[in-house]
Amino acid sequence: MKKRMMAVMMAATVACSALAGCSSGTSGSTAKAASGEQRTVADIQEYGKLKVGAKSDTVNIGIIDTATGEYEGYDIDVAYEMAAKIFDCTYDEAVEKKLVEFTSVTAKTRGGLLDNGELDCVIASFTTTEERKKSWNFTQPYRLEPVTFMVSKASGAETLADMDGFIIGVGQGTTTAELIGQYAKDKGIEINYEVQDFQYISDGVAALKTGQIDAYSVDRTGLLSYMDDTMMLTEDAFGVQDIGIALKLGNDELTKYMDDTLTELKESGRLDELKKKWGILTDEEVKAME
Amino acid sequence: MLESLLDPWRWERSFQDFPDYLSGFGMTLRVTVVGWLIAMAIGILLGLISTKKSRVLKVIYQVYVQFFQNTPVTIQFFFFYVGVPVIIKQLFQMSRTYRLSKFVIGIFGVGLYHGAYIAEIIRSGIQAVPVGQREAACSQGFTENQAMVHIILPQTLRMILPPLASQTLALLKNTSTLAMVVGLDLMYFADKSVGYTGYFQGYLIAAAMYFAVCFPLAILVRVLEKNAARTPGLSGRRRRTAKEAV
Repeated sequence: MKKRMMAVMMAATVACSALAGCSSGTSGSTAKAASGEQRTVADIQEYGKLKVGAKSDTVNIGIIDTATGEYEGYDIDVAYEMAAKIFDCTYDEAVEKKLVEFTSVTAKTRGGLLDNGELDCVIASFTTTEERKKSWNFTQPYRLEPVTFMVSKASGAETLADMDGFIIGVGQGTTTAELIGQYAKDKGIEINYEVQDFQYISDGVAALKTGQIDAYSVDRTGLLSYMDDTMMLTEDAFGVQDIGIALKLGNDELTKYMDDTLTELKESGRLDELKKKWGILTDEEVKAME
Repeated sequence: MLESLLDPWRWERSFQDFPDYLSGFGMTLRVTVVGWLIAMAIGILLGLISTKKSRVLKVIYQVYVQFFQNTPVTIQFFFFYVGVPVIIKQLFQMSRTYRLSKFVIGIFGVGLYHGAYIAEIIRSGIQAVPVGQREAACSQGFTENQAMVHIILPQTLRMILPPLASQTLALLKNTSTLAMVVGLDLMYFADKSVGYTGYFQGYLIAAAMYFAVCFPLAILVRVLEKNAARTPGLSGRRRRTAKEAV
């Protein structure tokens, strides 16, 4: 009996150390990152690269170009602008010298990677919410995104009001489901629908195109890249989300630094320039839609 | 990392999704029970077929078992999720894609897959009973089928119970793959919750729930194994007769 108890306790110890060990060992870059501590601007300058969590599956936002293996998109460019500021160079130099070290993140991994200090920040369609502010620092929004629906043209649905009995797909980890509920309430639309979560936008769109679901809802920019002749976006535009840069909770220095940089980029018109480059709605255009 | 794992707020927030976890858990258990019944039916049918002398039946058996044992259950789920509805639509000339419910996808997914494993267990169990037993029965006037029911199967049963129980355990855990096709099962809701909150705690809650049903099964496997070892084994009986002969 004693032997068995020992075995159980040992197993528990191993499990605990394995969980705790996730933060150490895997990074190995700097002592600070390895111990799960946040990095200051000076630390990043010394290390030579800004570590950013990015999306790798969304066209125009963050995607890996299969030909070159490089990340590209609006969120990626924002990351390069941040690096340019930190390392005091131009955007072009930051891209050329690869001053950003990108890590592909999903809704499930982005929080943990910030917590254990693997990443300096996440610039990956991370919607700022009050609840999330309890766990991470957020800058002001660098992008505003209205939500809409993609449906097949054959379905005949033009707005949410036509979607009675629909199965609506949303991205896992997104706030979309709540936004739809709020939108329906605001507009006084009384319909029944079921929501299903998909890990990747590509899964959801595939399910839509094979008829497993009736509509897919996510931010407008994300949907645009999956359009084809049989699909259409509905007229709905709602739940404008603030998308900010997320950082480790309590890393106020770097948060303020990035926030100030965003202000500069907004005032100089550079952010709007990048939005035009990637076909993303500017803040004014979003406000006009609502 | 450890700090965020112990954060009470994160636990509290994760537990807010607990009703979802429960509904997913219900789905997981339902799929397990009905999927198990299907797996057993297929396993017994095929296991018995495998002992027949017909070459056609043997080929059918081998094709089925090898196909399902050597392809991942994940792909089989996707086949039911994406493939089967298209086939049904074509077959019946439907205007809209026919959707299989997640429950149906689940029971057939794990049922067909584990049916192949259970068939192998039953086949090897039957073959483990020495040929002499059947021959002796037949010489006493039993027909081939009577010998199977009265002589062979009772001996087989004791041997196959432990591996059957561990297949049940594997089946239960494999239902978690259903989450990949929006299975509305426990894993799906855990994934959904962790995806939204970004808090690892959700997975720990799901793990505890899986553990709560899997652990008793694991104990059962051990008890059955012990029992199977304790009852006078076939080898022991053979040894005795050998001694008597000397």
